[in-house]
Amino acid sequence: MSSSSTTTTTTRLLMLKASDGVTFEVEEAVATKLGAINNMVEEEGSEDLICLPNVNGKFLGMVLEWCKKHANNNTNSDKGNDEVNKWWDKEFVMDLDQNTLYHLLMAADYLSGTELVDLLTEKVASMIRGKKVEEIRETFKIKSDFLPGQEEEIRKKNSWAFE
Amino acid sequence: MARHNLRAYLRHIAKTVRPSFWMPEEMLYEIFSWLPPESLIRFKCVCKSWYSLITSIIKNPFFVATHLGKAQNNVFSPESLLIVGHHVVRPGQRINHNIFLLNVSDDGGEKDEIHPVIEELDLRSPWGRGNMRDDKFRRMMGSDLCKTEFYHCDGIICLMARDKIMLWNPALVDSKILPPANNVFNWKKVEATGIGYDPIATDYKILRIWTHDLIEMYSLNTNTWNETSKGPDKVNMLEYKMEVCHKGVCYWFFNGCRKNMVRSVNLHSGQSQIIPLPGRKSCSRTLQVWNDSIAFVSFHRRKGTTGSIEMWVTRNYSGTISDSSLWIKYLSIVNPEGIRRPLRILKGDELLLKGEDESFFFYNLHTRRLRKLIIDEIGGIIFWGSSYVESLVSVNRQGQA
Repeated sequence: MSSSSTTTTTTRLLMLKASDGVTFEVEEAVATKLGAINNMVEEEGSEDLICLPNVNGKFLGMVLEWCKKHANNNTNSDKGNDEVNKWWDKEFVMDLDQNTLYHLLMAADYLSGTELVDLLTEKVASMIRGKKVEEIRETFKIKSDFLPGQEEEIRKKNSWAFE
Repeated sequence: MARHNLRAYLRHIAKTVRPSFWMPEEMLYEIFSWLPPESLIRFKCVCKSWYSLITSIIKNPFFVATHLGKAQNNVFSPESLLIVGHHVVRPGQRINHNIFLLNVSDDGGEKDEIHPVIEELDLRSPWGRGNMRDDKFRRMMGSDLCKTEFYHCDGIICLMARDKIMLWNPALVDSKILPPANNVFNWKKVEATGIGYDPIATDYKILRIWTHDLIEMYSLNTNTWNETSKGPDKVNMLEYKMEVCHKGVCYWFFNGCRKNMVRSVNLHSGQSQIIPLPGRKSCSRTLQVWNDSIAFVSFHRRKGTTGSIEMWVTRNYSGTISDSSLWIKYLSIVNPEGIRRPLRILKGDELLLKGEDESFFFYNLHTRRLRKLIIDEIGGIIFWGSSYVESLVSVNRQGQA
């Protein structure tokens, strides 16, 4: 904790290039909130330009916005800050439409942003919790592929969950 | 080469055929871990792949544990306490005891009175649906509900009647009656009972402590009873009902001692210890888990005073207590008008207190404010359980009949 350390703490800047060519210049400490990027940076002799062909610029931007917020507050993790972050997270996911949520989740997963995946999967769960089977199929665009009678059998067996 | 082409082809097919919200299985796994059991079971019906995924994960101990952690943080539902009492009836009407959930979620805390939402839990009980009648229960358990000992642990409700013990997870509509122990139950000789989770064996265990040198322990994993020795000490007169189980150790108060003392039993090793507690001899008391450690709340009264409530805490890394634990007095409420008994500490740091004439109060450990809990519909509360969780912990293990 002494201030005698003279190592200059110039933060390294990374360039992240999304699938559509959009690039983001971010501090290393922010980008390494993402496990995938952390792994790349830890490899010795890594370049400052990182190409992410599986993430669209729009969603990469959102993921990085989240990282920035959580990297800043990482240093002093007292309870008050926790509350602020929680509140910020709540706002962050509050008005996401289904399409954005889906792509954001895929991006977060691809980049191994574990905490962000947690936040987003909880959001998805809160949207489908308590819904009917038909509504779920509608939401996830899933067609029932049960053979005739199979579904009825499952329903009958667990009738209490369908009331 | 051919294999490479096939994979490329399959990838192409998957891309074109996949619906727009196709989720990889790992992602569904994450989402499902945030869902209450009822939704999960219902979603088995969505399609074949969801059916097989859900069927397998709810049997996966790692998933069940992750899910339990989330349930304990009240992700799916607000904090509710398990209570046993009866609906308030008019004179002459028959009293039926029942199991209720008391939803005590905080309403912002501005009012001096709290009106909890109360819901009946027995709709999914093994002794029949709809309004439970005592006689149905009696036929099944050989005893009345109001004479049954209740425990709650990780979503499992344990009902101990005279010679039958039932485990029941309402969130899964899953129940079983335990095989009988080697020793026939005897009121005079069984001095205490309890239930808890053994984190080392990842097993739920049920205990019966006898007045002679015997502890019987049932393991849910093996579905068998085992016996251990309780040690050479001669102190008897445990309170019948277990106070608390935390980090694999169960605790009971001693009755009739001149000081406050507890017996601990380690669920894994079976080791037992007698532990002195701080403060003057209590009129009423409780041990509770608070901030992941054990807190001791005691009410005592001297002649001519209205008494005082003291709360003691201990800081042990293990989260358990022993005879060398150092206790710190955390709180002291002098002259708490009309208060008779500390009952629980809730997650929101509210101390639940029982007053005179079946009145109940919340005392906030930080703001020190006392608020009255209004429970109009339910009377004769004989059991205050811990915070109820909707868990996926099944009481019927695989491979067991």
